[in-house]
Amino acid sequence: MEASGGADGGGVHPLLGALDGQNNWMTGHPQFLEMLELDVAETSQVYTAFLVYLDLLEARNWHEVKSVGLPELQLICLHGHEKEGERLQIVVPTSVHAAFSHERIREIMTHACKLQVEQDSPMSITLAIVESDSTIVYYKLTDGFVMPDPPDAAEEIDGKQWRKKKKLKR
Amino acid sequence: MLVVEVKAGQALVWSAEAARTLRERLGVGGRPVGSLARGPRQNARLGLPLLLLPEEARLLAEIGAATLVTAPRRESGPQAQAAAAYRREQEAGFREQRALAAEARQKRLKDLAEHIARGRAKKQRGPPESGQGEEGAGLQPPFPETAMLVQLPTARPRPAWARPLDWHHPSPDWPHAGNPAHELRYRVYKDLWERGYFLTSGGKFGGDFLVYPGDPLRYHAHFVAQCCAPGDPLPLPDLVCAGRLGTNVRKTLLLCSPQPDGSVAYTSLHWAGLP
Amino acid sequence: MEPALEQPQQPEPQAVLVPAGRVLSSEELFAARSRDQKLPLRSHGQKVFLPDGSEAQEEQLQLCRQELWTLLAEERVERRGSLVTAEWSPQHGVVTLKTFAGKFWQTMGFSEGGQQRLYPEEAVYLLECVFSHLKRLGYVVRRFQPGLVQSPYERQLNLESSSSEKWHGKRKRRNSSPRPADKKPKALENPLPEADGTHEDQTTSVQSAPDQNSRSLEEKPQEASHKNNPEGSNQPPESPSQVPGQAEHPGRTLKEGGGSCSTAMDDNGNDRACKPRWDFEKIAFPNMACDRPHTLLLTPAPELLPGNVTAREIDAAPWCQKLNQRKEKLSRREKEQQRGTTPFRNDVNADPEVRRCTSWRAYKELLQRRWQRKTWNCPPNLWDQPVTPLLNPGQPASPATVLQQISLLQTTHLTEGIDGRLLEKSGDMEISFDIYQADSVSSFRKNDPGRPYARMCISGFDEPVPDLRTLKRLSFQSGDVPLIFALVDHGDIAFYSFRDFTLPVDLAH
Repeated sequence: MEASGGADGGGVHPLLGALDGQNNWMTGHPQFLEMLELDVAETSQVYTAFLVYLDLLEARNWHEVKSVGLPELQLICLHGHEKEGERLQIVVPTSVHAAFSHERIREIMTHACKLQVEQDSPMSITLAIVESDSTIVYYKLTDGFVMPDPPDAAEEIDGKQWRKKKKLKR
Repeated sequence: MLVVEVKAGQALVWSAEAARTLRERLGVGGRPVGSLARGPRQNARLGLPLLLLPEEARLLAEIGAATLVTAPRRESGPQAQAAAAYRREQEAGFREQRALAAEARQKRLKDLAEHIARGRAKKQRGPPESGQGEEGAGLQPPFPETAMLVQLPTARPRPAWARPLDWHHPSPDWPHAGNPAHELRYRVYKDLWERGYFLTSGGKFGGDFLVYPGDPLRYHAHFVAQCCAPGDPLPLPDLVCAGRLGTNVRKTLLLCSPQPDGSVAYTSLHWAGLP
Repeated sequence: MEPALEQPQQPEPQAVLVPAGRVLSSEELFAARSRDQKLPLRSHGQKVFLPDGSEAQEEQLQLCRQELWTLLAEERVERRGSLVTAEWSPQHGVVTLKTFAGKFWQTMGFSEGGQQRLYPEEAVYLLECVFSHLKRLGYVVRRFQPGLVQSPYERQLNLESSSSEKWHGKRKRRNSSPRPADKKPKALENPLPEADGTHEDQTTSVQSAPDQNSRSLEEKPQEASHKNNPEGSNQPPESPSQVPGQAEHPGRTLKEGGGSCSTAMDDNGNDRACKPRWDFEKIAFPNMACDRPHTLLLTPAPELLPGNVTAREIDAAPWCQKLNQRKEKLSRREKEQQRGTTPFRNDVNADPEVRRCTSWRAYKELLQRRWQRKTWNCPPNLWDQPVTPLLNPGQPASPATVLQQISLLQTTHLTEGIDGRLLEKSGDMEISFDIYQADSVSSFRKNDPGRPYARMCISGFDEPVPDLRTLKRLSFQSGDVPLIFALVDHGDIAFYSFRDFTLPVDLAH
């Protein structure tokens, strides 16, 4: 079992480092270990990916989530289905402090979507941005032009009905 | 040939016909920034001149739809000749208006007289009362000078010679040339224009352009376009910020980066709002 | 009628002929009298989300466009009689009116050398984007005049209503970056006699300065009759600008008073009417207390009095004599109160616990218990050490006070901590306009505009957000008038302001 924290470059998460050696449910979690074993990313990225994994599965009740390594980018991304039978979504976890540019975004999109099943639909990933307090915010990035939701759709339905619809969705 | 007058980096179109051509045939809208003659004390609708974005002006010049010129300066020095000519015109105009006023009054009186006559005939009254209708015909109230109508022209009422503007090189009147921010924006503007979109400035929405699927007179904007060079650092908090703003106004944030091969890469961003 | 087209010669081969704008013929002008004056409302329905290529949409679009072109193509036509002629002077950057101004004069323009003038932005709405935007909405917009910024104290004294009508004279122009000294009010002549007892710059003759008699400032010294007011040397006037108020020379004193009230013209040769300033360091009030009796009071200058009030000179010496000037003898209780101690804070019998005591013994037990509680609450290991607890158990300990004691950061306001260094010009942002509300137009007086509704700085979207230092400086310059930032983006304007607010303190626990 690989020790968490320790001598991994400068990317050691302070929390993990502090819990080194203690009984940490996180470092013992099978998924966490699996991610580590992918051996594509630094520990801090693993931690970030792990948080997103937990959030999707436990908090947002996704049907299935599995981690996939992107060695060229040194990233772990997550493939998952929100509901059984729904199409695959690719989630890329990242820390809010990570350096990004439009170029990098497109690079990530290209590599992550290589494994996408449908080739004719535009490249699309969901960026999961993890704050230092572990809050996660999700933004969908798609190649090309994606029209926004038409205003009428949301306005025609009044508040109650809309909420009801949302509940049913779950 | 459509002429666009440029001064201190601002490109202006002064004629309604030109504005119409630009909008209807070329999909370039500009923004009216002057007072509207019919309603100068309101802001909802403005009038000529039309202010063009630097990108709009450059595009028009590039495709040969318009000529950019440096706004001609008024010749300095005494304007005695021009002033005299103006006064002569005004006097001639006044005489003509006076004649028109007299004509109009005659017509009114005639109409009135006919109307009265008809009215009398209907009622079959006694002998017609003499000359009330015609009395006024003799004395015409004078058409005073104060009643004369004067045009306050929006555009220069005379043709003038102007020097064409070289928009390839920076100058005081066109500082944009060579400015990396401008070049970046221009490439994105041109590409979006070629795809058929209608663009206006997007500062209020935290972006470079607002992108419409059609004429903004009738359609809502779909995108807020943010131009950035491919390698420019894009801190995630800023991305979230811009994305938030887009969500609030129901528009997709569009990241636009010109690529080395001449194309432009577009990435749409919107809040995933996962339940 | 076509104007005689005097086309100038083509100056150079590549020159482009800019076609003339539309010129209306006499018939068109005449017909314009009866044209539609109403602005059509945008009544062609809500905007649509998606173009679907349908005919219906196309039709709507054509309607909208046609309306737009009609409006844009309309030229301005006015009656000759309602127009004012003016001359634009490029070198001075002003427009001079040749005929009398109309209604707009109430809220725009200024007088100079007997002529009516307009600033360029006033004369032509088109020149300034922000200016015309606000003007069209009905606001009164004037250039920022830092000299008119009133400090809150001045406003408290309600100086604006007192004497603004009287001061039509010329004023010294203010610099655009007001130094604290600029905020000092101008000195008005002091009609009241000098009471040197109140002057700080009193010379060492203070102690022996007996003669408070202001008449000493004039040529003739006069002896006071009161025996407490021994004659002494004549006191020279404290400042040369102070001239004693003599009833018979009101005009002279008015003009000579006020050191900073010079007749200097500013750079543009404009005189601007500003409010008078009171230099409180130069205005003296007679001290009639027992330590420095000043009993001879001269007549104040009549200009300073309301119309129906007259005043006369008085020698208050006899009155002072009649006053009981013995030192007040305080009772012990009053003395203690003054000292700040209140031995009998509460009536002992008001304490309910005391009431419950039925005998002396019970009462003594109560006292004992209380004393013990007190000492228990102050165990020596806590209270006799160098480091003591933050709170005393006996203290009222609401969460608010606790938080107050442990807080390291104090709330501060934008206008605090402003000193001279801060006021040095930093950055390029400056206040451009004073804005007055539209509904105050009828009561607006150019010479006395009063407090603006807001002040405005103009910037562009590409320019940096003002840093804290600039913000502080601008807020200070603006006084207590809110500051608005107008950001211009290719003809589009957005208005922003910074709001002061306090973070809420969580007292739920």
